[in-house]
Amino acid sequence: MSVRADLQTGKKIRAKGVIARLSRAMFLRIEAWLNTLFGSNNPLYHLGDLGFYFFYIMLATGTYLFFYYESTVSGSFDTLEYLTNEQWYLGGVMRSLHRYAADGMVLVMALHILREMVLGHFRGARWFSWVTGVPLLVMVYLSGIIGFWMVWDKLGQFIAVRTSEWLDVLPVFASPMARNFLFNSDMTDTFFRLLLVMHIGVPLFLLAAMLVHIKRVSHARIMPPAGLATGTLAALLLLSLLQPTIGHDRASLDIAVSSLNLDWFYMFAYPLMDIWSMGAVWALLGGVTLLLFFLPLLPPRPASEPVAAVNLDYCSGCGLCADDCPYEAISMQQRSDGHSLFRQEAHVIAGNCVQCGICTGACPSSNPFRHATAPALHRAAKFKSAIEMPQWSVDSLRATMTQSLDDIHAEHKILLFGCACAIDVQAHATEDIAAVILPCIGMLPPAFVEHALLHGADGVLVTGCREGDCYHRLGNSWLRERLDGTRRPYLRRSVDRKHIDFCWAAPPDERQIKNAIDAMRRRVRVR
Amino acid sequence: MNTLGRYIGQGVVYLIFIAFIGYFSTSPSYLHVPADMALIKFTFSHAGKRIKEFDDTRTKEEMAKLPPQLRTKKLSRERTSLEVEFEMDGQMLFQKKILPRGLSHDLPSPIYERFIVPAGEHHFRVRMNDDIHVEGFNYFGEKSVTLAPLQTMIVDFDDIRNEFVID
Repeated sequence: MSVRADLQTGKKIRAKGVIARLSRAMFLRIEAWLNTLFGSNNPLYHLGDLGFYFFYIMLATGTYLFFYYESTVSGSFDTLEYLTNEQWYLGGVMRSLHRYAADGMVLVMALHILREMVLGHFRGARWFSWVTGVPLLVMVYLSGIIGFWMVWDKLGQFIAVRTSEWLDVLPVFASPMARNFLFNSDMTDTFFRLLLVMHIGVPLFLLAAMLVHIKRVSHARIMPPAGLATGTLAALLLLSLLQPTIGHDRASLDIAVSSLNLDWFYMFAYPLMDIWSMGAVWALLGGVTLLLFFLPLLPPRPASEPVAAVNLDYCSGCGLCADDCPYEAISMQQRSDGHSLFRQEAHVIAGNCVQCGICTGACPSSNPFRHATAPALHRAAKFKSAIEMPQWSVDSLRATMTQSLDDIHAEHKILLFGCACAIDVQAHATEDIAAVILPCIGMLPPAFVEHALLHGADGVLVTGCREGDCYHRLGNSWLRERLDGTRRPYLRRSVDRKHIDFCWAAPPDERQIKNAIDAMRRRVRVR
Repeated sequence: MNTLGRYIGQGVVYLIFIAFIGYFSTSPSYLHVPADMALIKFTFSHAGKRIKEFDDTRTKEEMAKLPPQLRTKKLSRERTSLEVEFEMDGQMLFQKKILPRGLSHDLPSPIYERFIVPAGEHHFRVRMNDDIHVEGFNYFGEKSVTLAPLQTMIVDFDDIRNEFVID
């Protein structure tokens, strides 16, 4: 039975290839360890918002530094030395925080890219967020490099000269740009004013680009949880006090740069310029940038699947699907069928839809009881939701659920709802456990849980991705809130919660799900 | 894990985080030019002579048919590539033909090369040809310099005096 088979096996989202599997397994192990310490504040689940947070720290500390910074050849170095040595308790701390937040931003950005790549979050409708993230990399590095340049110490001299020499490889300058850094007399105050304007202007563009980056992500977090934010700031403050940022000697173009304390987060490519040719460094950095940019186009590309479809006969225009869609794939528009009561209807933006089914879970019409009580007009028709995916209809979900429960003949039956992105619940189907896999657990309408309990299940165990780490961003959170009665559509209050439990588990968390199943078995036996 | 254990664990993670940031923000140190060496920048931007005066294939008869104000000859734009040699203590450091920039090769030929050499006394010779109609070289420069450790020496070409400057 094809529809049933589709639902039983789900659209398994598993990393392919040895490296991808190992990388995913590595992330899951580290995340599990961090989950025990941080819970929902797990920093690896907040890499994007931590990036925003480091930006805010840089903005605040940069504003303070701006009031002191003198954008002249000699003043640039002098003012920063003053802040570091004379006003170490505030200016020095601000300078250090500015620097370490910039380093932190590169670190979380690198981890964010790696994690999203390993989890395959760059494919399909998610291409937009991935591609718009690539220019952020360039802007972060550009503003960072300019920042080091502005100090005009030996490190700034090194950065200025080597960056110019690197840019000179491009055959666009009539005269080498690096010739501007031959003599101390070549340096002008105007140039430092230009650097200051760039160091303010580029981050402003960066902020705009960051907002574009999350444009297709609804309910995007741009601030980490309070606990994580406080801990991160305290850690950076501690580092600023233990190891204040200090500059090198004053720049002098007469004297070559010798030993340097490079900031490797920003300057990892500079030593390569000495080892390789400048062209090779261009090839490396340009190649990596282009590879990241075009990664969503590279094979294996996901098979094209139908996106969510709206059945206007059942749509009341309530907007719950649009509120819950994690990818801004649903908008509410003026009614097109001239309905006398409802003024709006849901509209699916096909290019944004990732076929997660969360909209189906959010739709009040995804009610398996509705068929029996609906007017005759609806009774004759197949059970449909106002919004659902053709390949995973609510009708097939109800049929699968009912059939799965009918197929087991134990005294106490447990229904296990699973998610294609999390632990494989099918492996746990036994003589007393029926398993149903959905593309995302957020697709499960709350009324289905009640339906299962009234039609043979003694207990319902809902599983999905680890808390805070839903593959489709918000599916497990939304379902939890719906079943807890804090998010529409609610699970009715009359449903006995003792027979419902949750287990948020990734593939390595076998022990966790076994414990949850055992606990549910004990509960249903008591019943 | 109890609350105290979680807080201690979080503290350890934060310490690892700042240790990582703190270390790689300054370490390991990098040696760009060793302390007993000096840096030479051999750099200038010089426009070679034009390869030919005019770039016009029209015959005298064709020119005569044109209105008087259009009978001017089209000037040639392409410049000679620079042939440059730079020696230190009789050893060739740089020898290259530098193409003019620009789509029509009508802009100066830029040179920017850097050499890290031992500090101490050295004898430098530089030669250049910027005219396709001249055999050999038509510009020469020569100087002995004692380079201090980490000194940066510039070898430039003065387009006003038409001579090399080794300083």
